[in-house]
Amino acid sequence: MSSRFQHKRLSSRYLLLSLVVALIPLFIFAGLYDRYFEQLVSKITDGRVNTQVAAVQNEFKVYLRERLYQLDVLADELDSPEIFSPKGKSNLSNELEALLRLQTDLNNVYGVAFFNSNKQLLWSFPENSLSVGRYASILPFNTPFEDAELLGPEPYSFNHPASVLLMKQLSSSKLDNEPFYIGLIIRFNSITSILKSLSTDGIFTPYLSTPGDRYFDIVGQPAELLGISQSFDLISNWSISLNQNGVLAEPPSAALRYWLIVLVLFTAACLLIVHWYISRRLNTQVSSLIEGIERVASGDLMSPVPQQRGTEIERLTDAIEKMRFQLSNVIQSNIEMDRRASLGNLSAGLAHDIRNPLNIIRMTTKALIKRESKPENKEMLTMMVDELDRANRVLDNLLNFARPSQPKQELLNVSYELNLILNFLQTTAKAQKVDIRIVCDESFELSTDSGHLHQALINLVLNSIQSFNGNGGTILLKSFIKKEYLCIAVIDDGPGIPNEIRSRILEPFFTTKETGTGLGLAICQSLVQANHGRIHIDSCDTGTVVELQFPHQPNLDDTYE
Amino acid sequence: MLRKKLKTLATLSALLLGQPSFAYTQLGSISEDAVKVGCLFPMTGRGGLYGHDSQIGIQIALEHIAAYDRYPKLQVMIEDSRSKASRATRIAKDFVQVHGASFLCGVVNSSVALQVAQVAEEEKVFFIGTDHASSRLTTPLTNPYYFRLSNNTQQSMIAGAKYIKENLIPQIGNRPLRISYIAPDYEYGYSVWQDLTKALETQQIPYEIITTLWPRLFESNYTPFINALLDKPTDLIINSMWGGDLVAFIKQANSTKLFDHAKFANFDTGGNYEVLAVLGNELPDGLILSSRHHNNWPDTELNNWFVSRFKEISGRYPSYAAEGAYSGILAIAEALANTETYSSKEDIKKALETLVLHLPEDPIGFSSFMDGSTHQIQQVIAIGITTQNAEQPPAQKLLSNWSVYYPSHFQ
Repeated sequence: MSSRFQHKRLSSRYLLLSLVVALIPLFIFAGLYDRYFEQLVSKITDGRVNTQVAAVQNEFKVYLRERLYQLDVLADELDSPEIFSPKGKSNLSNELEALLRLQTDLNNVYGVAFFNSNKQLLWSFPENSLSVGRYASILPFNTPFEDAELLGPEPYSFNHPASVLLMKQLSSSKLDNEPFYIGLIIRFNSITSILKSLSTDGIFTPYLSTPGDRYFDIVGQPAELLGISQSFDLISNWSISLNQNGVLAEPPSAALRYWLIVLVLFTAACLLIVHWYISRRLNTQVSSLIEGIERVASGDLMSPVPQQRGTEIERLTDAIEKMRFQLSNVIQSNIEMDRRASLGNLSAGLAHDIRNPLNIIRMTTKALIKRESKPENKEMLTMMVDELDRANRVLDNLLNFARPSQPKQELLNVSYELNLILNFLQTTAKAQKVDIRIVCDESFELSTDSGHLHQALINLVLNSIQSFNGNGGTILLKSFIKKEYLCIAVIDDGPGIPNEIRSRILEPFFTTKETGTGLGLAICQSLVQANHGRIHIDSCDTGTVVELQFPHQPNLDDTYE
Repeated sequence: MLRKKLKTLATLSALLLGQPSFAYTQLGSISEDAVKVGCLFPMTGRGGLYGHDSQIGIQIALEHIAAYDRYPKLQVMIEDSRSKASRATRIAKDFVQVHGASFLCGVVNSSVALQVAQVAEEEKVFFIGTDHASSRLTTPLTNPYYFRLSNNTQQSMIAGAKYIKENLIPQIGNRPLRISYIAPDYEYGYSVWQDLTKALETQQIPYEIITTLWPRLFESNYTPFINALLDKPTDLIINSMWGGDLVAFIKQANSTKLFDHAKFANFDTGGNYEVLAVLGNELPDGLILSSRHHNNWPDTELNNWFVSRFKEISGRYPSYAAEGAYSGILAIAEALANTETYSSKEDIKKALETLVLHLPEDPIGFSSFMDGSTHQIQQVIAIGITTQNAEQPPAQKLLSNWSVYYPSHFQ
């Protein structure tokens, strides 16, 4: 098959169509999704984020202002110089202590700290809510916020959460114009959690940038900024950094597009693999079928066309096999008919042209024998008569095969007929040390020509006796019913028929005996067929079974010629 | 506007200070000569159940005391602290100054307890701590009037460290145990962490800290914290939340892979029946939890009696707060019974310092005893694993596979 016609194959067209049907919608979907995604991301990043950031910026400042106002309230009440001393706590009145407790009950405030004019820590409430060491650690990170200072956050530690200090100078006439300071110790995590709303949609991870170029996530853990980030100011040195999450960080849906391309390639590859597999399977099946057909075409009618069960061309191979079988039968039948016609003509000619002269020669020779006085000559003439008798028998056989006599249907008792055969051949069998037995139901009856049956059975039994080559053996004549047939089997335990000649033994003139005519089995078959029966031979190293199968109720008609 | 609000608040607080008395619940003897005990528990909000269970625990203790002549008459006053230091200190002062209380007891929140302890010291009355666990009050002992009748965080964490050494270290092979810690952002959370790291070092356990997270007390949304825990490879997540916070955390973590990400332990309060009951089947299997009292351990006559008596009164099973309050009141009664005169604070102090009590949480052959140098009760700690068990509904899971640590093991 030329490759230039390959595209016209159905499978190739199917492949092309499949690719078009599968890939075009995929490309359209991918394009639409890409565009939609691009718009969506743009909308979120450009519009919504700015709004959210503005809200967080405002919330951050409001939060600090609230703490500042809280500090103002405390400053208004705690304006006694005695409080701003190392033992200041003992100078607190019950009311002021209660006020401090009330203010520090809030979850976001750890405590209140008091400082002298040099901003040295005096004491804190509750006790030790701010130590000298922790205060020192936040001093370098100072950010002015309105009229106060925001100190911190303190360096991150696993040991405790960080805090920031909102410190303000007190200005009161009671303080003798000496500047004291009061500070609110604020929970740093309450500040980082303000950024929480920026992470709810999962597109950004917000970080709080604090003095000292330190970044913290929304639960107060230190963080390192990786990749692209946007920065939004809060107050001096404090800002929000927004990191776009990895999945969305690349230009619109790059990862998604990559996966779509992979999906397209995968779909195409799958279609090609399916196409290759189906084509290969069909080619194998068709090639096998073509080989079978070519064998038939070249005259080999005996080799069956390989059957392909469960395949697409099962019915086709079945039909071709049936056709080969029928064709083989028709041809065999025609050959057989031709052979019989030729033999018929030949035997008729022989009967007419040879038999009569032979009979005259025989009668003359017999007359000569009677007159001959010399024993030597008499013996020679007798031999001539014997040979003429042999030639006559050959002619009889030939005539029997070519034109067997028309069967005369009569109802026979099979057991009786088998016993007749046994009696007839008993002497010959004994001479060859052969034991003949019969197994037959007394009730079996068969409608057939008794002469034909006798001739066929005698032929078969004699063949069996001869097969023993004088070594003796057993022959079983057995009759039985098999389906719609009454069978008469001649079974011997001789050496069997060699494999190489098994297929030819029914051919006329085929013989392995030096004095045989090669017509015995051919005549048997002819006689059985004339009585609507059939012959089946099975042989192995340990014996041979020849089975004559007759219909139970043979429908004999006069069509046979 | 805000300034005005805050000023109003300050004024209100000053007015509140002027109020003469609180409307408290009174239990026990009504006799004038009865020894008065003022108890502070949260009766409302997330910690409200602790207060209600403590009240029933006190009731059971008073029943027990009334059955024996050797015990003095006790009158117990209970007021809602709302877990606020400002309110708790005012109530404490009110109990002492107005109602003549000789003892203060209770307090769930460790930060509040620190401030109530200061009041007790100032007023020279005994403060019998029952539910708060921060070790700061007893290690070292700074307040002679303070005694604690429940395990503190130091004891729980030593038991936890022993548990880690016996059960978790063999599983991870030859590398440090990666620990993440999450705790409420207040005194109790800090104290647990400090005690845990100290115990890990004492037990010579190799460990690496992955992170420490500090959500505020009564946080509503733990999602950012759960995500932060999931972000880093960890072998063990140690959580020291309690009550409603722990319930909320576990419920929110259930919708994530947190409990597959690492083993989860709460060595101090996680096994509280309150948590088991509220979570029911939502409580994952295999969590490592403990509590100051367990309803199903030890299987002793006294513990079974205590649990069944509580159920008779309330129709439900007790949280550990009930047994804590029971222990506190019983300790006061026992100390007074061992004292010649109730008026001698020194005698009472000595009696408390040498106190030996057989309590529902004591296994057979062991009685809780007071360590005179720290004023901290010494008890057995049992750590278990959450397992399907519906014997104490509405809890569907209880602790089992116990690892038990006696006081001598703590050191």
